[in-house]
Amino acid sequence: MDKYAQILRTLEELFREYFGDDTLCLFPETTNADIADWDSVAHIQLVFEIESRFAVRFDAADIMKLNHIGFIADKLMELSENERESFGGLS
Amino acid sequence: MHEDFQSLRKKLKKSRDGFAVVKLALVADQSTQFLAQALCGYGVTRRLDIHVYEAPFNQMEAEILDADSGLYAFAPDFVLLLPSSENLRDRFYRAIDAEQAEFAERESARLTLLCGALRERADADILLCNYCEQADAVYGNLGFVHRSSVQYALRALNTSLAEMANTESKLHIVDINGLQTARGRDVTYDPRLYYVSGSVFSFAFIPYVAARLVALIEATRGNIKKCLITDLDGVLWGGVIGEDGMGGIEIGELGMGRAHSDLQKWIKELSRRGIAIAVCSKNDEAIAKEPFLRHPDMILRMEDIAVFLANWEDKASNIRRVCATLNLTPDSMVFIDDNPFERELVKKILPAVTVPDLPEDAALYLETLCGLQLFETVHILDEDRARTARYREETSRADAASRATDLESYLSELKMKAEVLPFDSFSIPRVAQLTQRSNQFNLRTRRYTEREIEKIANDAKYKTGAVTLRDRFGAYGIICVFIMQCMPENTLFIDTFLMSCRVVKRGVEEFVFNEMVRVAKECGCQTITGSYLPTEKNAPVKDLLKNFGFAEDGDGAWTLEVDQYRPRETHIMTQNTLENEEGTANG
Repeated sequence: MDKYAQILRTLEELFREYFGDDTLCLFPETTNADIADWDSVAHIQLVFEIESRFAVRFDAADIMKLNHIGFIADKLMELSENERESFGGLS
Repeated sequence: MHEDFQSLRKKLKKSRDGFAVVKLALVADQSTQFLAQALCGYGVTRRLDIHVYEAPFNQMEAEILDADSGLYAFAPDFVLLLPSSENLRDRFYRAIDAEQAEFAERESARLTLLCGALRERADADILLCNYCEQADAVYGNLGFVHRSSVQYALRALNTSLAEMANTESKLHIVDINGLQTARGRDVTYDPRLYYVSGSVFSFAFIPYVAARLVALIEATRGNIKKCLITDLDGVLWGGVIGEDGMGGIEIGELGMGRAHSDLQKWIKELSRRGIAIAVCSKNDEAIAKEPFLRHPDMILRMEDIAVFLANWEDKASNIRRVCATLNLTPDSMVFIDDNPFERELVKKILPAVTVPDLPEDAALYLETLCGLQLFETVHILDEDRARTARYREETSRADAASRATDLESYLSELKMKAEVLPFDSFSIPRVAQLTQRSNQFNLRTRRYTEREIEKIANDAKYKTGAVTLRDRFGAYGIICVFIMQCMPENTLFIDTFLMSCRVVKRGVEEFVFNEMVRVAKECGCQTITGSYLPTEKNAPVKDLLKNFGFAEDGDGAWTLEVDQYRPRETHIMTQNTLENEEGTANG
């Protein structure tokens, strides 16, 4: 499985756990409009959950924009690329 | 150590059937939605059904000063006030120079006003969070000293909050600042979360705040720890006394001895505060006692120990014996032991006992125990400070009792004197405390706050008494309370009759029922009625009314015709009578 698909799958697990719904499916085009319980309070909690699950930190300015699964996955790809670069720089 | 935020949030879906309901209002100048979730979730952990009212954001004045606000419509049991240092800093920066220097005084006056208004309009305990102190780096190190720095203002303000709480019994400070110091600001505050949601607490910190708040709520409801039971080998000293001997155990300067000595000093301080200290060790009794009697570096001595059990029985049975000896319930016990086997055994057999998981390294014991905040309480009365001494008297009484062949002669030798005090400023705090804490010898288990007791004291409809007892071993303070309510047809109804377990089987109940009948006659009542409301714990008073000649007339109502009452004999002398007679003789 490629990295992007892996990220999507982990996000799906996390969303299922958070909303307590095992049937929930995520696609890159899923947005907060598609999930009834994904309100503003849930949103902030979800973003901080994603941070700890993937061990990343989002910029405050991005936090409210992460309401689109494709965008979240892109951000996570980007952050893990940066991480690899910084590790590369260290070694 | 604590459940994290998500697991607390998941508990919101759990059933809360049978949990005590607590109505908690949150009034804040910061966002409280996440804290509210964590509080309800942690309530489930503690078997409390917490109903939360969140006042509109940053509307502290409007909610508290307006008698028609949602806050008062909610009729809270507790009001949590959360003024944040972030909000204060914002106002501080906007203030003119002259205002900055006296900012703390003004802010303190504002909070005093808000608390005063709350006290007038709501019958609730106020939980006021102190300010998270922080340096804004405008003045560097001088910020600690300079009166016009926000750092100075926050510290001065926190000091004045302590004074406010010292003079106001229904105002309790939640030491958020202490929590912040312990966890570190990097952990407790996430500026990103603050700017996107207005929450000044990070998700990592919120569970700690919730736990601390719920502990305070529980303490206010009388649910507190009263006894620390400690193991010996590996806890109070390093090594094994039975093998290493007096010269080999690590205490004082030997090996890791200082870590054990520091733990002992802390336990001694708990004992001074009124926490009973008990020893529970698998050891030969004489060998286990030797360090307490003869080791020069021991901090704890035999007189600090309320119950000393060194034997080869299992620890759960020994803890039951400690409970029985001190008349305390397992849920008021903390048990520390370095052996995971013993800890698990106690957790399994006595789940109500609090059993902290000590780390393997003795150097970490004290920090771990302090971090758990096990000994929450809302105020310390002189009664509490004298408690260890009383527990020891209890043990000598128990010894005397085992010597006395005949209970009656034992009681007559005790030279007991009782006094019936009115509910006044001296007795009210203790009376309220007894109604909150007494479980076993409590006829109807009515819980009253200090304010409610005050109201009863000032209401002519109520005939009340707070009974003190002393004997040749010492004074017990107030150990029994009765509240009778005047009803139609010259009848008094026993709203409350409770007794401290420490004085059971001394003839106190006989003495007090004599007194209640005397009061009834004095005010021209011919009948006393009562009822027994059963709880999990008050079976000991199931037959109390029957034993005093009350007749059951169905539906759990009991009636006594005052004229039919046969005064009971006791070995208790009346202090009041003695003094009245002296007074008459002198006058």
